[in-house]
Amino acid sequence: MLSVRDVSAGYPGRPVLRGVTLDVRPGELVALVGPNGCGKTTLLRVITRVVPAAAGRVLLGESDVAALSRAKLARLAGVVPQAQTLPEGFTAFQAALMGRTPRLRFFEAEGADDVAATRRAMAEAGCLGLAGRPVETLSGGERQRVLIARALAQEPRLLLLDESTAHLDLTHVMATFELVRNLCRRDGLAALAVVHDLTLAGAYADRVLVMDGGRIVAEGQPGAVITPGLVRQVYHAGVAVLRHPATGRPVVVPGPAREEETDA
Amino acid sequence: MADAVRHQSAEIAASPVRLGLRGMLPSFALAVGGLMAVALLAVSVGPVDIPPGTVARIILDRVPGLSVEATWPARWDDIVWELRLPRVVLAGLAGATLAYAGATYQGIFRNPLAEPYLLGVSAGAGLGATIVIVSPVAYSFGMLSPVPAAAFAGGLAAVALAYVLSRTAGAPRTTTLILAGVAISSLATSAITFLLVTYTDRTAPVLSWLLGGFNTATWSRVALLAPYAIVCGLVIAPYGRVLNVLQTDDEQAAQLGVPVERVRFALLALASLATAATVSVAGLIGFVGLVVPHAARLAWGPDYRRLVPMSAIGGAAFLILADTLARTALEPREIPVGVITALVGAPFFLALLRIQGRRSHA
Repeated sequence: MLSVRDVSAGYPGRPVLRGVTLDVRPGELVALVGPNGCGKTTLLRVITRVVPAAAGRVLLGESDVAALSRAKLARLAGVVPQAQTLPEGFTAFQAALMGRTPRLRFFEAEGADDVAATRRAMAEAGCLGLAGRPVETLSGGERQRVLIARALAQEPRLLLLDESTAHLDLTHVMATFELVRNLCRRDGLAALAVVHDLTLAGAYADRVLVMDGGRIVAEGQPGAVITPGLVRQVYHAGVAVLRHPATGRPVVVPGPAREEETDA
Repeated sequence: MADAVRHQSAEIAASPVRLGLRGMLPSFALAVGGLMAVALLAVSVGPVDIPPGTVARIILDRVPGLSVEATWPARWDDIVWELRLPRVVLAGLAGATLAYAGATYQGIFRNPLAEPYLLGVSAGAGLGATIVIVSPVAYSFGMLSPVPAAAFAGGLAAVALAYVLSRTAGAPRTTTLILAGVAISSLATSAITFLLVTYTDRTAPVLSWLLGGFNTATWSRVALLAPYAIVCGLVIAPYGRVLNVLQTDDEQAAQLGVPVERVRFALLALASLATAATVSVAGLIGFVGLVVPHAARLAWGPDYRRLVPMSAIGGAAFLILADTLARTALEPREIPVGVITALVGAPFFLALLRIQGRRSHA
């Protein structure tokens, strides 16, 4: 669904991405991990053409994003942003309904099918009960769920999540990732999630991409990629990686610090 | 339980539909009715008081196909049709335009302090008008005064210059745009001051133009403003839904499928065009474009689909009332209408804010 081919991008005087190549296939949940400032958010911005690619190509399905209209792009790729800004004074439902924007003609008003799609999205994101609440009365976690609902209301083929569970408690973190994984399995949605928590990335992702210094430095099954060696190389931190007793997925535990380490 | 849930979600399902055009009709009709009443009242008061009912009949009398038995002095017909009605219509159009342009500016800049003069329309128009007024060749055009045309051109030139400068200064950030507008404004203002101290014999007409007002209102001025006011308003209004999406932030709006730069440019151009047209026929009238959209927001919420039309109706009513006060309060002298808009508008606005504050604390 998503192919990024040798993409370089950045801001004036500050290159951020230096030749990134990656694929996310339909039905696949891919986690993107890496230290702060390595270019994860910039990559999502390049995929949605908020930041132009200086070199390389980004393909959504068969289409080059450079050639797509904003609306077509937003019908293919939905973003759950890191920022939690929702327009003040609107209800949660109205905010989620804005996800229908790319499905409406410019001057068209929302119809019954837009309402139905938004309600379905809110039910799936677990926030239909908040529908009538003004957004400024929502907690951080509630806002995040409304943002997830808004992205689902776009009915995208690719879902991009930018640290979307950072403000959620454990229940909602798990609910969110299970929801995304189920949508991938059930509807063939492709998902690329920027995740800070390596254990979380390992627990839910089909594949993990590790980014460092604007490049993808490792890629593969969570168990194969998330290792003490990689964490030391990328994060300059000492960790132990255990196995989950039930799933066998990697569990990252901090310490001992690098100096005390014996395991190379 | 399940029934209750189903019932609740049915209500939720209905809510955005009610927000659409159909749901707006009752409050829209009420507001238009209110505006008509205000206009009727405004036409009826003056040195000669004409009962509102008679005003209505005098107006209806000229509607083709209607004939009303004329029970009023023939002079009243002239007072209504040649003196007061054009003035009320012009004030209404100007108020509506300034208010919807203000709402639009506030929407595209996501800034409650934005108003239609933000990017230098006022100063540019002022400079254009001043140049023509002090210039010795200005009055060789015969009957047609070149002042409105010069003000119109000056106002648009100022905004265009601010826009171009902000783009060449790097990324088309809204902050850069506002700063460019401020710079252009102060440049034009100092040019006006320079011209005023250089041509001291022309100070009075320049100042009287800058103060603005409707004491020179005629149907031909209405005809100058009406096309811009109506066309720009009708094109801006359907942008309401997109303006709502723009209230998140540029990045999210783009990721929701809105071509942000294009929308911002179109709205900026339309609102500035309408404002320049208003300034060219009515001079500089402050406060309307800033306060009325806020009042509309407090009364009808943040949905731009309501906010734009409601601001227009509210702005029209507000400026008609202010202008009526301006010409009747110290009769036969006139108070500059801008003084009234500020004097009446500021306390009214503060009262609204207080009510809003109390409501949100309750």
